[in-house]
Amino acid sequence: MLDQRPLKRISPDAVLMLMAELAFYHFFDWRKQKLCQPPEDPAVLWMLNQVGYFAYFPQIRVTGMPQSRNFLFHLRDRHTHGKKVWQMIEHFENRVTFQQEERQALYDALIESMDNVGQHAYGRRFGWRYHYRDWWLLGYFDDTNHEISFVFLDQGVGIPATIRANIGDQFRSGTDLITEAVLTGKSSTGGLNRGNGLPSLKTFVDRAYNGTLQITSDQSRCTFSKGTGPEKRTLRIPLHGTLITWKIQFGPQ
Amino acid sequence: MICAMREKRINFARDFTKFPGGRARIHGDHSGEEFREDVLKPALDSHDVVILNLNGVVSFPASFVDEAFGILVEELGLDRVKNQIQFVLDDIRLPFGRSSWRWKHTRHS
Repeated sequence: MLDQRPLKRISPDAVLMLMAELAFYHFFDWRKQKLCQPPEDPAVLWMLNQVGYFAYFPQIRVTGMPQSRNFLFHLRDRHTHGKKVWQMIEHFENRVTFQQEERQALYDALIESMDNVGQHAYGRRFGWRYHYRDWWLLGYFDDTNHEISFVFLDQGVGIPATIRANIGDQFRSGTDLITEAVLTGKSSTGGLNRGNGLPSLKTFVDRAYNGTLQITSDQSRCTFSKGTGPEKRTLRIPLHGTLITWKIQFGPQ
Repeated sequence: MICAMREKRINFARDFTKFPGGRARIHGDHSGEEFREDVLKPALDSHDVVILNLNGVVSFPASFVDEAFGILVEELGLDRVKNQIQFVLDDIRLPFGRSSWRWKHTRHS
């Protein structure tokens, strides 16, 4: 039983992780009935309802949903889809205006994230989880602070484990490996024409007026802000997979 | 004897896609591998010059460019690719070719 009544606030990252964990659980144990007490806060209820969270709880009927000035768009797939990414960007352009460079950088960043999932995230060492290759993407516009977030999640082995397994770098910390992969394009395959994916993630933040990129993988969390060095942190509880979050601040439209 | 140059014009947005994908064909549609194998390589094999019009495409992800053009350079050689392909691109903001050039210089210098 998931009791979510006390929830007063939820971030887009948490919504996506909750949704992905639930779907993962449902994928392997779909017969088991899942029970939930929905949140009482209307904003939290709205967000969870928008991503289809309550579809996993047939006993819950959500009615009388309040109108929201916020905007949310989410995708779940296991392939790289340029057209879907572009459609999502166009949806957001009803609320915010991207510069041409920002739009292209965002497109590239999301394509590279999806492609990385297909190529690296779910390796053969993943065992019984190997056939589960989904990625999750959520875009969220918060009207109160004019902030737009894009969150990308996979439940694979994580970036440090992929780099360590492929090039045998066992001695460096996960945060150092992520930072090097993002800043210098160090490839997990070690190939000369590889390693372009992760630097593309940061380009979107670099081109935007004000924003951050946060990459969380296993116990490592690296935050890249425009104009400052990476902020590294080791988490006490590991995240199974990789969570990438871009946050961009816009002025009032 | 006069031999006419066989010329092939490819409009990327019209003949392939406006929304390029990632690196490998197995990971999704309109990948760099698909473009290289199904469109570009056959055109290069059967024509002397390929004029590639890239206008109207939303962007070119680095993995797509590497797979489509970097691997082509590895297979055919940099000189042949440079001599046979002419690019048409009005939007200079597109980051096209940056990663591919880095690859080429690393590989051949």
